[in-house]
Amino acid sequence: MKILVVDDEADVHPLFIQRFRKEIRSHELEFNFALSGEEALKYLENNHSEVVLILSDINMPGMSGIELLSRIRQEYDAPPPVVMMITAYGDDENYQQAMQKGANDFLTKPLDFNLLKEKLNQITQ
Amino acid sequence: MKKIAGLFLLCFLSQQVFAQSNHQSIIDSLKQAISTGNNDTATVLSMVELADQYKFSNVDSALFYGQKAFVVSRKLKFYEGEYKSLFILGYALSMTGNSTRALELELKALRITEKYNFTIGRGQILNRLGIIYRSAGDFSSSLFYHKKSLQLFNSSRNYNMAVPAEVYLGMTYRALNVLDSALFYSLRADKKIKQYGDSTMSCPNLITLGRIQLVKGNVQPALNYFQQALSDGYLIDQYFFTSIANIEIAEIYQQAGQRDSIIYYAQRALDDAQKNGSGLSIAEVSIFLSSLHEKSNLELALRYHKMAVAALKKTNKLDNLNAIKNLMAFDEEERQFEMATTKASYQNKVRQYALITGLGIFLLIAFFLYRNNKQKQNANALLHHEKEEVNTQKLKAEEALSELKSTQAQLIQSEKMASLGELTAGIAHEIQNPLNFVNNFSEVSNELIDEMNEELDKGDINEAKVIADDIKQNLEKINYHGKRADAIVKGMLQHSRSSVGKYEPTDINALADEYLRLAYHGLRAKDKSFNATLNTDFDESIGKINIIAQDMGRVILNLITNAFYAVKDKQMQIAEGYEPTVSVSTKKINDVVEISVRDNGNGIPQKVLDKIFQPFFTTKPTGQGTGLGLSLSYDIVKAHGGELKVKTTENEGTEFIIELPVNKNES
Repeated sequence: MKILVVDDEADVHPLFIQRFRKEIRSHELEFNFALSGEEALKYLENNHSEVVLILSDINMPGMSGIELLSRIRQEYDAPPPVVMMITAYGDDENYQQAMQKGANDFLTKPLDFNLLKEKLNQITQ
Repeated sequence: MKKIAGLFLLCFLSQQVFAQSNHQSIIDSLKQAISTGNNDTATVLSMVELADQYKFSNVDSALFYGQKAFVVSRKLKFYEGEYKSLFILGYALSMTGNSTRALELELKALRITEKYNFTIGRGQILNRLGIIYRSAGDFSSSLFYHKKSLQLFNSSRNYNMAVPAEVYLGMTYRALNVLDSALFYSLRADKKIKQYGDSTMSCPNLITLGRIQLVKGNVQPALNYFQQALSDGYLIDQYFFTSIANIEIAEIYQQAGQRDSIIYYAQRALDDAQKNGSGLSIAEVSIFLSSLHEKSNLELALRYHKMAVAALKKTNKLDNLNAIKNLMAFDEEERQFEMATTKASYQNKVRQYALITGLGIFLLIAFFLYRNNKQKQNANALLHHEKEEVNTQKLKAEEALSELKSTQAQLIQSEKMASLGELTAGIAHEIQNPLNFVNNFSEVSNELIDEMNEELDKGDINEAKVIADDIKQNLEKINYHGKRADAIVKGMLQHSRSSVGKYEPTDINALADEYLRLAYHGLRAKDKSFNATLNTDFDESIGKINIIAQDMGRVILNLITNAFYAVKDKQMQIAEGYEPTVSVSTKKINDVVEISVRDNGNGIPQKVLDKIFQPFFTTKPTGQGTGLGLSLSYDIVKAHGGELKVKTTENEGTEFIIELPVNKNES
C-alpha cells in the first residue's frame, strides 16, 4: 500500500521510516513524503492512482492540510484515497472541520504509532 | 388756534395719521399758531404737534420742530413740553432707522415723566420703547416695556389707555411666533376696542389677528381680518396700516395666483403708503409691485423699481445727513443745560464738601486704624489657609501621580498578557510538534536497542552497528526537539515577565524567525480559514547583536501580529485573486541593522498614520486590542538607541522597519 505523508517538519521522514521499518522491509507499506500541501498536490498529479492513503498535517505554511484535503476531494475521486489528518490541535472545532471536509480519520500529535498501525490494518483488511 | 392744537395733542402719541386733505390744513393752522404765538407753553405744544404731523412724511421738519419745542421747553421749565418733544424726536428718528439715538431720547423722556409723574406720558413712552425694540429685533426687551406700560395703566385705573399695550404685546408675540400669547392679547385688545369704542388701535390689532391666522394656515379667517382692518383703517385715514393690510391681502392672492386681485391690492397699498408718506413703506410696496410686473411688463417693473430707489434714497439721505446734522442744535442745548446745572450745584457742593471733609477725616483715621488691625488678622488667617490649601493640593497631585504610575504599569502588563494570549495557541502547537518527535524517537529507539541486541546475539555485528547509528541519530533528534520545546517555554515565560531584561548578544535572525512562526501558528489556531505566504530573507552576515532579547522579541512579535491582522482584514474584503503575504527580512547596512516586517494588506490611511504610535490608539474593535502594542514597541526601540519607521501605501501594504545600531549597546 502506497502512503503519502505530508508535514512541514522534515524529521517526520526518518520517524516514519523507523517506525514502519518492518512493514517497509516486508513491502507491506511504501512511504512517500511531501513538506507542503503544494508539494503533495504536485506528487499526486503523477501518482494519484497508486496512492491509497494520505496522512497530512493541518498547520503548515502556505496551503493548509484542510485546503489540501478539499483539493483532493475535488480532484481525485476515482478511486478516492483515504485521508487522515494529523494535527497538534486536537480540539473539537478542528476535528469537526476536518471531518466535514471529508477526512476519513483524525489523529493528534504526539502521534500514537500503535493506534496508527491498528487503523492501517483495518484499511488493508 | 391753541384749542385746536390742544385737541390734536390728545392723540398725538398714536400712530394715527390724518387724511391728506386734512393733513395739509392741520399743518397750515399749526404753523400759523407757532408764528403768531410768543414762545409760551401753548406754542411748544403746537410745535410738538407739528412735528408729529411731519413724522412720517418729512422727518427733517419733524426733527426741526421737535428740537425747537425742546429748547423752548427747557427755557420755560415746561416739563410736559420737554418730554413730549423728546418723545416725538425719538419717534421721528426711529423712522430713519436710527434706533440707538431714538432709544436714547425716549429713555430721557421716560426719566422726565418718572420724575414729574406724567403717568399717561410714561405709559405711552414705555410702549414706544417696546416698539423700537421690536423693530430692532429685541423681542424680550419689547415685551418687557409693553408689559410695564400695561401694568402702569391698569394700576392707575386708566383701563382704556392700556389697550395699545395689549395690541403691541399681541404684535411682539406674533413676531416671536408665540401664537397662544399673541392670540390672547390680540383677542383681549379686540374685545376692549369694541367695548371702549377706541378706533385708533383697531386696524393694527386686526392686522395682527389676521397674521396669526395666516401662520396657523387659516387663510379665509385671515383674509376676513385684513378686510376688516382695511375698512376700520380707512374710516380714520390710517394709511400706514391700511398699506400693510393691503399688502397682506395681495400676498394671500399671490399664493392663490389671482393676478388681478394681487395688482389691485398692491396698487392700493402703494397709494396708501404715498398718502402716509413713509419712505420705507413706499419702497417696500414698490419693490413688491416691481417684482410682480417683472415677467409681464418690464417697463412698468422698472418704473416701480425706480420709485423704490427714490423712496429709499430719500430715507437714507435723511438718516445720514440732515437728521444727524440737525440734532446738533439739540446736543448743544443739552450741553449748555448740563453746564449751567453743574455750576449752580457746584457752589452748594463746595460748602457741603468742607463739612463732610472734616467729618470724613476723623472717620477715615478711625477706620484705617481699625482696618489695619483687621487686615493683619485677615492676612494671617488667609496665609495659613492658603498654606493648608497648597499642602492638600500637593498631596492630591502626588496621589494622582502615583495612581497614574500604577495604572500605567498595569496597562503595560495587560498588553503583555494580551500578546501572550495571541501566542498561547501557537506555543501549544510548537510544543506538541517537538514532543511528537521526543516521544516517538525515544520509543522507536527502545525497539531498535532490542533489535540491536538480537543482531548481536546472532553475531551480525555490522547490522548491529547500523542500528546503533540510527539510535545515535535518534538520540540527537530527541535532544534537539527537547531543547526546542525548552526554548519555547523559556521564551513564553520571558515574554510575560515584567522584570527588566539584560542586554545580551542575540541572533536577531533566529529571534525573528521564532516569533514569525509563533505568531503565524497562533493566528492559525484561532482562525482555521486563515492562510498566508511567509517570506523570509535573513542577512546571515549580521551575527549577534547586543539587545534585550525579550523586549525586541515583543516588538517583532507585535509587528508581525499586526501584519497578519492587516492581510487577514484584506483577505476578508477580497476573496478572489489575493494572496496574503507577510515578509520578514534583516539587513546590515554599515553599522545599522534593519529588521523589516512587510505586509501586502490595505495600508494605513494617511489620517491615522501620525497616531499609530500614540498609546491607546487602535483600529481594532473594542476589546480586541489594547492600543499599546506599537506605542510600547516604539519605546523599546528608542531605548535600544534605534528608530522604528513606517512606510505605507494605501491598498498596497505597510512596511515597519526597526533600525538598530550595532555598536551602541555593546557591553
